[in-house]
Amino acid sequence: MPKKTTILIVVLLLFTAGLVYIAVRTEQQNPNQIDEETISEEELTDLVPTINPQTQISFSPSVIDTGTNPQISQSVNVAANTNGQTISGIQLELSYDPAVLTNITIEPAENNLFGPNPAVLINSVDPNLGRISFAITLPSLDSDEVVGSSNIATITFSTLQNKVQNTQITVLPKTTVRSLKSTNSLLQNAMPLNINFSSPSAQQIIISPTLTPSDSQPL
Amino acid sequence: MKYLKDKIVIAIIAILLIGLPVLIWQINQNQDVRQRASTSESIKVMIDPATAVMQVGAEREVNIVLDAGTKNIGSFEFEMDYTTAQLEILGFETKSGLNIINETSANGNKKYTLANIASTPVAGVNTLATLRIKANAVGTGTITLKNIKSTATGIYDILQIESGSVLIGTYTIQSSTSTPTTTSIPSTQNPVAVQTLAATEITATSARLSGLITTNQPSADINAQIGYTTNSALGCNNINSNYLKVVKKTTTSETVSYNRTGLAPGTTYYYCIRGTVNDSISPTIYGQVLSFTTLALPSNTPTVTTSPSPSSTVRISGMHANSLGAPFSDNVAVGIQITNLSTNQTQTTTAKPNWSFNDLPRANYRVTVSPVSGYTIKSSICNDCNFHPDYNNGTSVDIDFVNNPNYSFANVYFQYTQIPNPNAAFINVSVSLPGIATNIATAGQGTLYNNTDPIRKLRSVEILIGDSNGGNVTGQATGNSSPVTGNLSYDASTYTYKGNVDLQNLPNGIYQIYLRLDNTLYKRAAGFVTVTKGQTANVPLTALISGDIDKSGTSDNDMTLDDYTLFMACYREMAICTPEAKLRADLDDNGTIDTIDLNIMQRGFAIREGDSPFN
Repeated sequence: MPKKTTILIVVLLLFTAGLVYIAVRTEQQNPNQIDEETISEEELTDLVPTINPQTQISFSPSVIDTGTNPQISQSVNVAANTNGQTISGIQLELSYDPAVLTNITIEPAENNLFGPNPAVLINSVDPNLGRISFAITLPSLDSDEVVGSSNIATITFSTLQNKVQNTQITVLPKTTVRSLKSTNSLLQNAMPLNINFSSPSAQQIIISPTLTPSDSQPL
Repeated sequence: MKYLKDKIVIAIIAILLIGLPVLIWQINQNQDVRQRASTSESIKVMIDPATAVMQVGAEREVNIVLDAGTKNIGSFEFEMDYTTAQLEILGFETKSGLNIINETSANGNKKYTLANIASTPVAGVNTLATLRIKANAVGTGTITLKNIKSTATGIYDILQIESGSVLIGTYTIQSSTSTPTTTSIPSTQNPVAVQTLAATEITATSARLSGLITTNQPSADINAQIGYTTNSALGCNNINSNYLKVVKKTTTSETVSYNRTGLAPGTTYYYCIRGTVNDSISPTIYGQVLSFTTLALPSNTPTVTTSPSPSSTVRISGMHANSLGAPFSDNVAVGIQITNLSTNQTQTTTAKPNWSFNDLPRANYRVTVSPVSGYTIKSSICNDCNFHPDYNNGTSVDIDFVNNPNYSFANVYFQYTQIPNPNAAFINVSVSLPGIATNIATAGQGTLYNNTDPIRKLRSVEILIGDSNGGNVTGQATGNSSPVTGNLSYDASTYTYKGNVDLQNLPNGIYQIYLRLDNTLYKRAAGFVTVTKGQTANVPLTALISGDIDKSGTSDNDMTLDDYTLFMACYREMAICTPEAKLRADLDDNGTIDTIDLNIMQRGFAIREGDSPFN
């Protein structure tokens, strides 16, 4: 037999054996792949509906410098970024030093994450405890959940004249972000608001001297 | 040597002949696998409601609901035929993030193509679109969805419509002056069917109401409700539910049975069963309204001269009741013995609270209740006990079936009253709930008294105790941090819940009492209560604040977003709402979570925090 013919035969043999091997191996793997896709609906509904938290809450701006005139009423937005998750409501539980901050009000922000007519369940400021409670949710029981990054509330405050010390509005652990699809809070993290006094390098602040405290409209 | 060459060549040809067909076969197999994988990608589409009764001139919304599972729907198109003689399409609105990119309209036919052109995924259960329809003429109006096609991100094939590619909504349109039909027939699209069954075990004051729940799609629990009324004009959709049972999703059919006691003798009642699949998308299906009439009580001057054909067997039944007449639920053993006074044969039962002896030979019987330590027992009602109804201080009654041949049953109630422990102190507690025979009209919707017939007649109460300075001394009663618990029964005459609660080891003293039920905040009862061992002190009627339905973590005894979220989930019948949470969310306890419950919850948010003693 010529040498070339022998080589050709060997190559063909190896090629055929390879094809047969691949065929047999593929046949053994495919049923498993299909099994993974056929989880029954009953098994799915039995799963505990918890979702990995991804929503972040922050103040905008995150630092306020009261400058040289701390008595002017100032405002700061509370923003939420759901990072793709759909949510149904947010409850803010904030703490501040009532010996430093005064005339605090909180109201739904414009261009609100929950739309132009969100439902405000809780709007409470306790000046003795230094506690702000605010819960905002979908406009109605039938509304679709919301997703995105936007403001949810606007806080206005003044500082006491004789107090010039740096302070914070902190976010308490009771703060929660909820979805109708899960039993757990979707809050991943929340950053405090830092309020500094007379710092020349501080960020520009939003000043709204005409804002007056207004009661929310409880449902 | 040549022979060897030939063998090698033949072997090679043989290998090729075998290998190539195997290869071709395997390629075909892989194609089949891919085809199976693509066709297994299915979605469900439903019309909600699939059936309804409308009156001429009425308008309503019809939802097209999609259950896409985990798939992200990219496009959805369908064709819709409707009967123009009966129905008019007033509007079409998409709901879920799909936008209308193409729409054609002809007489009785519309085509829509919807596409997801936003970044928001359309997955899970969504109301894709809402049709606004108007009933124009008497008859049966139908809406037929057909040629439904949908695609999803990452799936390169048309999705299979698991619920069928043709869906029909049937709407019975009646004259505006006619009485609405009280039953609805489930369509083939509905995953659940209900059938009201004939009432059984009918006595003068009780009856067993039953219905059959079946489902061809046991994918979710089914809330089965039975309701009754004396109003013959009500349809099943307007009869308040008096009984709720969750039929588990593993069951394809189940008979739901409700033994209703406390009925008025000689009265006709109308009842039905309804079922809702707890999957957020299925409509409620109503069973036929049936009726039964309770037996009349015998007159005070019975005439027994005519007894043409008395039945050969009789039945004796009854109930163990607490001091208020409600079912006796204390954790103690009870026993009933009946004695045939002709043969002296006896039978016993320990069933509680209801018991019965059936198919007894006609004779006179003595019914005796077993003594229970710590309680006094006395017969309170004995319908048809025409002979010595009060033997042994009320623990026995005799029933005369021999001289009363027209009667074949008897009902005997025994009431249990706890004997005060000389070392224990008790308080009489009474509470009222918003929405339970109270007027919430000032807060929005609601009738003058709202629901006067709550489903849960027996409610568990939790009690915290504060000393005169407000400090929490509950532990002195219970020995730990747990609240004192007790049972309250609904008093239909005062529309309040009442009960006697044992304060256990609490020393004599002056205390503050804080009360709550399973869906209310704690509320401090007015004033102070003087507690003395061996005596019962009265706590003033306390109006509780409802709405605290999430009892977890920091949401307990506090109205929070968690409560509202759970309420919304129960309103929408979503997965995070457990059957227990659903009961708590039904704040007016009428079997339906609706805007009245929302109104009550909103009042709770005005209060926010419950009372509690200092820790």
